[in-house]
Amino acid sequence: MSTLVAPSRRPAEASDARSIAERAPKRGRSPERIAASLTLVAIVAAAIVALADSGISIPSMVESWGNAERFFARVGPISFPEPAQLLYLTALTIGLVLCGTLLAAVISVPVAYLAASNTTPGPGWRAFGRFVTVLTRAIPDVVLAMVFVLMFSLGSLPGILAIGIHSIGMISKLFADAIEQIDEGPRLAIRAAGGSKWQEFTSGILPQVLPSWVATVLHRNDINLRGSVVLGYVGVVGLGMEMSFAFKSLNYSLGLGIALVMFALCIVMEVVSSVVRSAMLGVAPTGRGLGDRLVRRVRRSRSGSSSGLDTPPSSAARPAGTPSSAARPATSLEAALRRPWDALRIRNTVWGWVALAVVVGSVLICNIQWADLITFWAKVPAIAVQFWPPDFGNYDAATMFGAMGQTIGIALAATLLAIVVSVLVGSLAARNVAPNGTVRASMRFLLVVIRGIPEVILAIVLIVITGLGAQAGTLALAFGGIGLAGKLIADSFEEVKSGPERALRATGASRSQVYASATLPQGMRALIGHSFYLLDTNIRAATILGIVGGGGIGYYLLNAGQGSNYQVVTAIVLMILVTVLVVEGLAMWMRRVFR
Amino acid sequence: MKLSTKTWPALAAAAMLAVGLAACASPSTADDSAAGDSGAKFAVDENTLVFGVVPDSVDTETNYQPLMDYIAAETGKTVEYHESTDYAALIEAAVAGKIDVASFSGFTYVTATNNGAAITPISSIITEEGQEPGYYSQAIVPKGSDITDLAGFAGKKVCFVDPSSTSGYLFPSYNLLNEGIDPKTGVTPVFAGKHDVSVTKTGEGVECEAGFAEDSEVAKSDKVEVIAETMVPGAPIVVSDTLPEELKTQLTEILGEVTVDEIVESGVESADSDAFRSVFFATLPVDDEYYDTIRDICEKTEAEQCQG
Repeated sequence: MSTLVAPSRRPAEASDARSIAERAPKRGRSPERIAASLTLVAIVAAAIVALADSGISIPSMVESWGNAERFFARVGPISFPEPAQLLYLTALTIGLVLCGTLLAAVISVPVAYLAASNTTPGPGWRAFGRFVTVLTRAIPDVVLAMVFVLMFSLGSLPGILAIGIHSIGMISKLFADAIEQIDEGPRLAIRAAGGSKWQEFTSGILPQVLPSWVATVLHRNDINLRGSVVLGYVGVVGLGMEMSFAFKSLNYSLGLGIALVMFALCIVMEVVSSVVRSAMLGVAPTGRGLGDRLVRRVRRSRSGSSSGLDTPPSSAARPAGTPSSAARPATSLEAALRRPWDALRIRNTVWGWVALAVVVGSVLICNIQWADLITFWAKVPAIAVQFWPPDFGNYDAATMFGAMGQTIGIALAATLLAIVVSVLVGSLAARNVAPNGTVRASMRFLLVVIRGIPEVILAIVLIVITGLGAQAGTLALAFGGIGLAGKLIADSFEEVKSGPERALRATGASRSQVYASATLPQGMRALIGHSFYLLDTNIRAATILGIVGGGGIGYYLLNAGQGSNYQVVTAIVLMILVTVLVVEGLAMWMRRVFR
Repeated sequence: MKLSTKTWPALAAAAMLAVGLAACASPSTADDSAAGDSGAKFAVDENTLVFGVVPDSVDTETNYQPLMDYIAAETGKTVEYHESTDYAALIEAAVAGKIDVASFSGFTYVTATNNGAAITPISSIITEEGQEPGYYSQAIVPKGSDITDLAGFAGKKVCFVDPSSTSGYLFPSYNLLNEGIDPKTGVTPVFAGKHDVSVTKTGEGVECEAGFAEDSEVAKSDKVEVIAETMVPGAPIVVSDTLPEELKTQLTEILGEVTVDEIVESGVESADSDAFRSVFFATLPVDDEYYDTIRDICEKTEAEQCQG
């Protein structure tokens, strides 16, 4: 073996007496890489300590199982709100989420334009764009909603603004990434022909990025729909708020009924968004039979490669990268100058008008108090004064930092638990790992189901079994995290290069060997990325679980908000902000180092 | 054979998880059976007391740690302290026997017992000398309004806090019903979400022509005037009935009627701070009958949360 490999690489050293291990090409070991690895190890260690600390005890949980049975016996049959009210609440929730996401999409366009390296007017603008991206992402939407509820108090505006502002972070980042990845050709051609900056953008950039932008918006909309459940707990109108009222008055059967509606809504939206995406991204315009296409779509959406909801931002009217009927020979010059009203164009136009109708409907159902947007500014100075300076009120700093530490601990422990399980579930849900289609489909379905269960409900059920405290919070977050991380891991594993896998399979490697030597190593970087993403998500969510007695900073945040101790709110928001930024910074560093 | 190569990683991972979790289990689980001989049951184990708290009124800050230190010092047990803003979570924990001692609103107490929680109230915390436990639910109108009594609320836009609020909805509903006004149909209810918002909106007089809120928030505004008020019974400190008799007696003794100075004298130095003194002056004994007003309200308003 050594004589075979070595000469082909370095013939002059064929007689080298060193062992093969020494001569094998080595990956460069930069100090930074070592530092990053050590940090990673430290974080995992911290997570293990946090997990041990959370006091999760299987035996006592088994012992307390009877509590859960008694609880569910008391819940009784699931009930729903009256149909008319349910319909209104559902429409309101969807409308609110759509408006929020659209607001974010609209604001994100200029932000992304400034932040993208190839379109930014200057480094200063670029830094500004990136800053907006990071900042809006770092403030949890729950915190934004709480603050806006204080400022606007009534109606749907606080929810729209909270969802809108928080979503700018993710949407503008992905928008900017899409702009950076365009083919510069068309844009340069327009510039060479004397086109203005605006023309460069609308004709050179927009058509190229539109499919990706639409996908991003749909994806974010799906996340926002799920998030609206939690926002209800801090006073944002819609299904989430009704659910929180039901739970607060111990009407569990109604609460669970609303949760079920929410769950169904999320799944329906995934399917709808999948249909919209495949229609817009030009996957299916090749003119197949409707039934054929439907079956394909159903299969696509069930396979989990979908997300988001029906929000084509009126841009649906523009066919994104759809093949034109250029192949047909033009009958006359006159005809060639006009785009014919073929089936594709008609369909796209219909889609566009439907999308517009949905958007207009959303705005109408939200019954936005536009006047609030004007009168609001008059109130800002008076309110802003109340928020400044940050102060811990009657609590001492040790309590607050301790609570923040507990929140981080819960998030770490939950991330660890979730990642361990989701590597398993996510792998089995990946096409290239799953032993057969049934396993894959059932795992994908499991992930969708898990994602549909609101963490707040899970936490309340768990409190019955485990008692109050970090234990319930950790388990609720870990469970929810499996749904998120499992899907991401499955998608990443499906995206790994198939070459190494095929090579191993050709040498007769077993399925687990292929997995361990080809799939997993290639997916490792994505896995680290997803872990940090989950940690980030969990820190936000852990805040919420504090509300239901899951321990941590959330309790103090809500208590301060309810008691109008705005200075305490500011102090806590700043702590959360710093924590999220640190995690964000670590994640960026890791992604760069483990490239 | 092929099947086994597929399943072993799954099995291994599952086993690892189970072992890992089991390793995290508290080492004292075996003690549970030991405590069971007298029929007594602890939320965690016999060396630990679980203390759960939901803030009673909106201006309650719950930096009760010195109180935990005091209980720990007196009983010689570890005290686990859990706070929540969610009544449901604590009620369910109480019903499931997952708390030993708790402090929550009078309403929560009634609801929890209606739902089968075995708990007994022993005392209520007051924050200043000479105070009575509890606080006021106040009916407010904008300064200079024509409305002078509750009867005048009929047909008006009325701000409540939220449907689960004791002083911001249930007591007001009860009082309106006593005036012959249905709180759902006799007025146009507006849910402000928070006490201070209810006060602000009432003060502005646009979205709400009258409203209800807790006294501490009403006092902060100079735009509203109080036309009626009702005392909301103070939040009880409760102990679980499943605790051993002597421990229950001891807890009643040490928490039944104690002042902050007595706590400091007993050697709990952390209690001697402004932060603690601002939320705790003393406890005064209360009993189950003290909460009969709330039961009456439950009956009259048919509030959902009262149903057992």
